[in-house]
Amino acid sequence: MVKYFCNSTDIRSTWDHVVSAFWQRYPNPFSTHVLTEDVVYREVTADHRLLSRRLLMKTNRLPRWAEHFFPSGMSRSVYIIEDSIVDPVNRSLTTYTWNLNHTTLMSVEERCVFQDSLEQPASTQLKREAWISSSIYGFSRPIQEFGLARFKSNQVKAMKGLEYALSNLQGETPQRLLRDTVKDASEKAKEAAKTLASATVPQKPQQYV
Amino acid sequence: LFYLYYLFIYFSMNSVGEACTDLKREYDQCFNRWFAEKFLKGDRNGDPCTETFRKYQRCVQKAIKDKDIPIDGVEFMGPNKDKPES
Repeated sequence: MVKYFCNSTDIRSTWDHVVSAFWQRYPNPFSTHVLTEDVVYREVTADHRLLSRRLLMKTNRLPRWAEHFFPSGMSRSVYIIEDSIVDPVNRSLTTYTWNLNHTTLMSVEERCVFQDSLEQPASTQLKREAWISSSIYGFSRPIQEFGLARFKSNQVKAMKGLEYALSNLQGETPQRLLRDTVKDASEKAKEAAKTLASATVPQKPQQYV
Repeated sequence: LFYLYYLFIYFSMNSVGEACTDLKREYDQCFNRWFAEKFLKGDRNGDPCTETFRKYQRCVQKAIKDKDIPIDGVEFMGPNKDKPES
C-alpha cells in the first residue's frame, strides 16, 4: 500500500536564488541527521540542462518499537539518491529523491518541482509529491504512519534548511535559530562599546555571493 | 572595538569517503561559482570545474565501491518513470 502526499508552497526568493541555494543547503541547523553529501554524477546536456545526482547518507532514527523487529546488525545509515534537472531556459528545477537501502522497511520517494511563482512576484513555487510505502506484512500501517510523520517533519526541516541557505546567500542575517543568538551578541557588543572610551569602528557586513 | 552585525560560522559537509572531503569542498566551491555566475546566466563557454570534478570523482567512486553502496547501475530518475506527470 502506498501513501501519496502532495502540497504546494511559495518561497519568497527568486528562482535563481532558490536553485543556487539548493546546492548549498547542507549543512544547516536542521540537517544534523544528514552525515555526508556527495555529487556523484553531473552532466550538461546538449539543450543546456544540468543533470546531477547527489548521494546523501543520513542516520536512521527508528522508534524503539520498530527497532525491535529488525536485525541488530542492520545498518544505522540510510543512503539516499537525489537526482535533479535544472532547466535554466524554462526556469524549472525538478528533483527526485529516494532511499537506496532499508526499502523493505520503508520506501520514501519524493518529487519536487521549483518554478517561478505565477502569483507572487520574485517568488518561487514549490510543488512536492511523495510516495511512502512499506512492504512489511502485518506492520505496514503503523510503519507507514510513522514514515509519513517523519517525512513531514523532514520536509519542514528541509524547508527551514533551504531558507537558511537562502538567507546566507543573500547576505542577510541568518534566520531562525541563529537570529536570537546574534541579537544577544550584538546587544552585548554594543553595551561593551558604550562603556569603553575608545572610538568604535563599524564593521562592514560581509557579503556572500 | 567594533559592532557585531551578525555571526556566521561556516561549516562544510563531509564526503562519504573520508579522504575525499577536501576534494569535494574544492569542487563544490568551483561549481557554486560557475553555476550562479555562468550556467544560470546562459553562458555556455564551458565548465572550469572539469579537472577538480575528475579528481573528486576518482576518490568518491572508489569510496562508494569500498563501502558497497548500491548505487551502481541505478537509472537516472528511475523510480520517476512509473509516476504520473505532476
